[in-house]
Amino acid sequence: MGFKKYLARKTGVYLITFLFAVTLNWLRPRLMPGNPIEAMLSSNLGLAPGEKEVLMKYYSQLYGLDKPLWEQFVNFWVSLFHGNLGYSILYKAPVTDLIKHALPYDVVILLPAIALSWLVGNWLGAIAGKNKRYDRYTMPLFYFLASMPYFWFAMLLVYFVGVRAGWLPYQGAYAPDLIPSFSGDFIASFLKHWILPFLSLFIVMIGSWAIGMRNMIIYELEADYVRYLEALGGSEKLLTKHAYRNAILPQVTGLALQLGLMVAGAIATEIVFNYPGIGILIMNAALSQDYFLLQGAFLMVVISVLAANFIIDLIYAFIDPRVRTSYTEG
Amino acid sequence: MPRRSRMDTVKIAFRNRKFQFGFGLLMFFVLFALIGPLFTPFAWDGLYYEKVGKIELASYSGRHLPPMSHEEIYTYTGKKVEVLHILGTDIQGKDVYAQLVYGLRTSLWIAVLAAVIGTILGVTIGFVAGYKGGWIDEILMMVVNIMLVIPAIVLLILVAAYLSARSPEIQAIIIGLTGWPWVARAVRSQTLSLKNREFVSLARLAGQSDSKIIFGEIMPNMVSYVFMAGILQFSGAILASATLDFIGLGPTTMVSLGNILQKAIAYNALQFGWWWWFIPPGVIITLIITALFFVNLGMEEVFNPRLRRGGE
Amino acid sequence: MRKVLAFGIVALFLASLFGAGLGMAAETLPRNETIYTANSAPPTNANPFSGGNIIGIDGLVFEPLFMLNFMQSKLVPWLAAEGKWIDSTTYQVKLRDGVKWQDGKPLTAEDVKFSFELYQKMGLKKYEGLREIKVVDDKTVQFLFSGAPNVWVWNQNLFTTLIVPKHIFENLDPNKIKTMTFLGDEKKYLVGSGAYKLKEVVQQQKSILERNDDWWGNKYFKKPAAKYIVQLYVSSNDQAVNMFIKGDLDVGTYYMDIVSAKQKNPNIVSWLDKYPYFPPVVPVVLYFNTERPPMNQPAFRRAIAMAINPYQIVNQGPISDVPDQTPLGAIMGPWKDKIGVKKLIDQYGWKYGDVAKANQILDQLGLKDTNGDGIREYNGKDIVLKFYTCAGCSDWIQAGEIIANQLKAVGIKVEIEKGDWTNFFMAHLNSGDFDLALHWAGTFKPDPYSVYYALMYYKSKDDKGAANFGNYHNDKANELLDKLAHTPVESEQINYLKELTKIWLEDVPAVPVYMGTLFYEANQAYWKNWPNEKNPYGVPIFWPGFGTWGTALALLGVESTATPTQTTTTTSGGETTTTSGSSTTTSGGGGGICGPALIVALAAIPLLMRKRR
Repeated sequence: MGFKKYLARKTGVYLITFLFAVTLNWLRPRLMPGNPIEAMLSSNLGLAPGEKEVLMKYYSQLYGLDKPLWEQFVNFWVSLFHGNLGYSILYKAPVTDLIKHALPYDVVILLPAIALSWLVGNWLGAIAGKNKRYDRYTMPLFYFLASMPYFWFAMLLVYFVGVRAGWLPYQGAYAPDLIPSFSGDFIASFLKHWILPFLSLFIVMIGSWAIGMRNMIIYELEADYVRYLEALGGSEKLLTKHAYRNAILPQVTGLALQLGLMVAGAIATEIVFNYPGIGILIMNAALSQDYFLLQGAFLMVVISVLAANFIIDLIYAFIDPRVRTSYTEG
Repeated sequence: MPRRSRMDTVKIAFRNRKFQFGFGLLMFFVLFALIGPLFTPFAWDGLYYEKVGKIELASYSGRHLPPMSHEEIYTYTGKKVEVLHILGTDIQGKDVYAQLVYGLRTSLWIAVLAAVIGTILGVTIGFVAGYKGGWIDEILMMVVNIMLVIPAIVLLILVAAYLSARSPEIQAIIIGLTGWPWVARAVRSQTLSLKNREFVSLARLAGQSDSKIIFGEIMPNMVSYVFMAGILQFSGAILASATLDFIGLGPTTMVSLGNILQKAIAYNALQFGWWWWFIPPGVIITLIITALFFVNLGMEEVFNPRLRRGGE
Repeated sequence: MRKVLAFGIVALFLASLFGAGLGMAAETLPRNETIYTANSAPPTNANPFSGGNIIGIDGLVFEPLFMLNFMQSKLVPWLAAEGKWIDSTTYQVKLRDGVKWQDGKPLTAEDVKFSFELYQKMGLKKYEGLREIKVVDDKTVQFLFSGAPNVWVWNQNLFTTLIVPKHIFENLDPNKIKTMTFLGDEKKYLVGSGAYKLKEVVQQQKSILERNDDWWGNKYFKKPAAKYIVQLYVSSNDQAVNMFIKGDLDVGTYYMDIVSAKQKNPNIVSWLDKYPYFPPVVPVVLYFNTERPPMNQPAFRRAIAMAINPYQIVNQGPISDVPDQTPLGAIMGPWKDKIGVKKLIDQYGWKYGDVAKANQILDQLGLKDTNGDGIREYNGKDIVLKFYTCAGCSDWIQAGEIIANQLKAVGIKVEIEKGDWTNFFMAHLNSGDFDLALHWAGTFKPDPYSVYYALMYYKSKDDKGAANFGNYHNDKANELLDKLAHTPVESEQINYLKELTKIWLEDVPAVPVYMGTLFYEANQAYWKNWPNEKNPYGVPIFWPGFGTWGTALALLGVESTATPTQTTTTTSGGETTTTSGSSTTTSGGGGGICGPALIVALAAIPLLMRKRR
């Protein structure tokens, strides 16, 4: 059956991608010259003469960096299956813990932003596709929105809404004297801090969806089958429904492809808002060459993106009847 | 579809309003990057240089001055000079306008380079995959799919983080290396559809060699796609380069637009209200990408008349 | 289908809220009894010996025999009432009366002996020359050395060796201790003698220290004013600045434009009450690679030193102060007075910013510019010096650019090479592959011996001062340093230091270019009497691992401001809730609800309009 073949193929690609990406990520830092222990210690002031060598040996043993390369590789996969992603040199904590605490913050701004902007953007784009007057006035706005770098729009929000008007907090995920829990206090603070980061992703994303949908709708509305329905006396609602159904398909695949850009946007946005997500972890790990943290965070991002792709492919397979009958690549 | 002569295509393009707008805006910025320095006495790093004998010595300005502020600088040799900071200065006393203009140059240069690399790579791979077909196609498409799934930014961060010194050219290369899959895909599907067209089969029947077919029949029909792909690469590259610079993994040798924004955040320009520092670079990036969007739009309408909506 | 999607999104959203909210019920701490500080790494490790990243574990929870006051370069007796050399190979310490552990047991000489031996067993310290630790009686310990030891290194050990309870730590395996985090189950071993206990670490985001009301020090010093000390995780400088402006932080060591910050929040103070506000501590020096010609000639180095103008660097570069020609920092004031540094500089030193003289010396050395391109030549080639620094060190890059400009004026070209800290910058420094570089590694030390040792000692590539990147080699200096190491008598020490200073000034192994500052800021809204220039009782280094350098002294010395801001007066039980939380996020709190409500309303309109179809 076409559907099975489709799934099998996609799974295969994702698996290979996973292995390839992870191995590459693991290998690269170890091929580069330099030593992360050295890094950690050279920022350590006040070491008495002779103390440095003692500590270097101690830490090299601690992180297992004194073993041969192949042994480190095997150890890596073994510990991966035990759910152990290693120990961050920069933060002095298990990588899994750091990621565990950071991931929810990413999900909480990305997921609603992606989903809502997709829905709202497509809806607005469909209107523009049908209504010429609306199209003329709103399209330039959408172009402008879609052209803005996420992080710059974030800066504008911080400056105008946060600093000048003082309406919303613009830093961190919650007020610093609170502790994450289910108290009303915390949730209120959390939501207040959530709004601006969410908006900065949401508003910019709307632009690109709207543009894409508008083009697809126009394309579909000129298609033969629509003309045919029209000639048969079909209501506008009917036409729209069918055109919409067809136009949405490429938007779904578009969603999968845009995920990469969205992850990029999220990283830069987190920097502006100091929002404690994986983006900041990746940035800090990259800037201080914390191998283990970079590995783990990268892994997490790749897994998430692959999983999201897989889910979207599943959804696509359900809604596109052509896939179900015969699967063709293209 | 009858082939238009290339001159006709260009003429129609320039008559398209969207294309005009986009192209005009783009040219404005290119011009600005070229002649902008004429309006300011400051060098690329925002400092004032005076010539003493054979060498140029730098002098420094006041910190975070607002736009259009006049200032009297005492140069290294003690001369008094009156200068105008069109867009004010940043926290280190460097002129913002000067940094903006030269930063724009760097950003445009990197983007062009990256776009060329990405397009050439993508066109080659896409074409080979589409024309040859078979298992070459399968493998190449697998590589393309893998690269499309991994977010480019993560690859960029990984590579940039492990380079000890980063020049603009290196950044362009790595952006090009992560951008080609998009082009490859589009080119491949276009090649596939063209490969089996009548005029190609006719040419083959007429006994024309492979390379003549490629360059004579298929290529000309792809020019439009290649060009549009290139434009998209260019705008993508500007965004990618700005994002990389913003994260702090940009070139360490010159100033660029993303770089300026990164420093602005690092020195709390938002909290201290130095808007002239962080608003202009972002506006420029946005407008350039908008311009490219419109150029692309216009070209799409030219090549695909169905998308035209009055006003042509 | 749409409904399913919507439901799915909401479910996921709530699920992630749950993920973020995993934790116990919150109790907010009373603002006016809590000091908030921050660190650039999250508090994940409370190991007092090494690798800990919670400020105060060393110093406030566990204590040493002596505390260092880094700002005054002197030792403050702490657990020890006094310590002295009773002969050239024996150091005797007498403990104070009444010192005890947080579990009530008394702290005795046995604990001291145990602690020092534990550091040796863990492999963290060597204590060169120490052959035996003798317990004379409950309060007296003698350290017996074979031969005269290095008195300066020993002094450092006095404030870096924490005293831990024998009755708890003797049950632990010294090899295991190194990898313990002392959190979770292991927290029960954190029994120190200090003024604070570790209350809890919340989700690796903040650590809370709680006052030990039974502290032995209450009768010698005053009772600490703050009931809680909370350390937050603040990873970047700009985030810290925001929090200081808002009043969410009370004290920290983060770089900021303190002038602008004070304008936004006048409660922010630092060490000085005028520019540069930050305390100047130690000089940042420009290293020469003394193995490469023409830098191997002292006269050349001297000329470069003269061409440098620190005033310009201080005005246009990082927030700093003007240095003098020696590598001894502002914190070593008393030492410098005793050594008579000013007179030595007049006699043997050079004058900064003397471009004419610099040019003269370079001309005399035969380094002329023959091809007229403005750059002098050595052996026929233009003199181009490569200056190495790290790409993220914006203050050094600033200084480097200014220096390059100044050296241009005497015909020397400087090229700035930037890269990452470890693989590029430190790699080049450690391998001796550079021409010029800036660093404070050799000057950020607690005594003048350590400074000169780090910068000038050189027996071989593997046996040299830790900060002698330029491989400066001087036999006389080596000899002086060896002698100085083993001299406990101050007057003799001063003589040796005089000689070493003279050598430094004549040979110019490196040039101090600006007096680096500690980026220390404090918020006086809730706590006052922070240490400052007029009252240097404590040290404003708020990094983990430096607790015994004077941080503990600072945190123990602050006082509460009499007027809290508009909170409800909370009871000392500290379980009250909402109001104290909102006071810290006040600025513009009035518009707090209007803004978000407006945005939600705007977003809702298109959705509402849609439903009509």
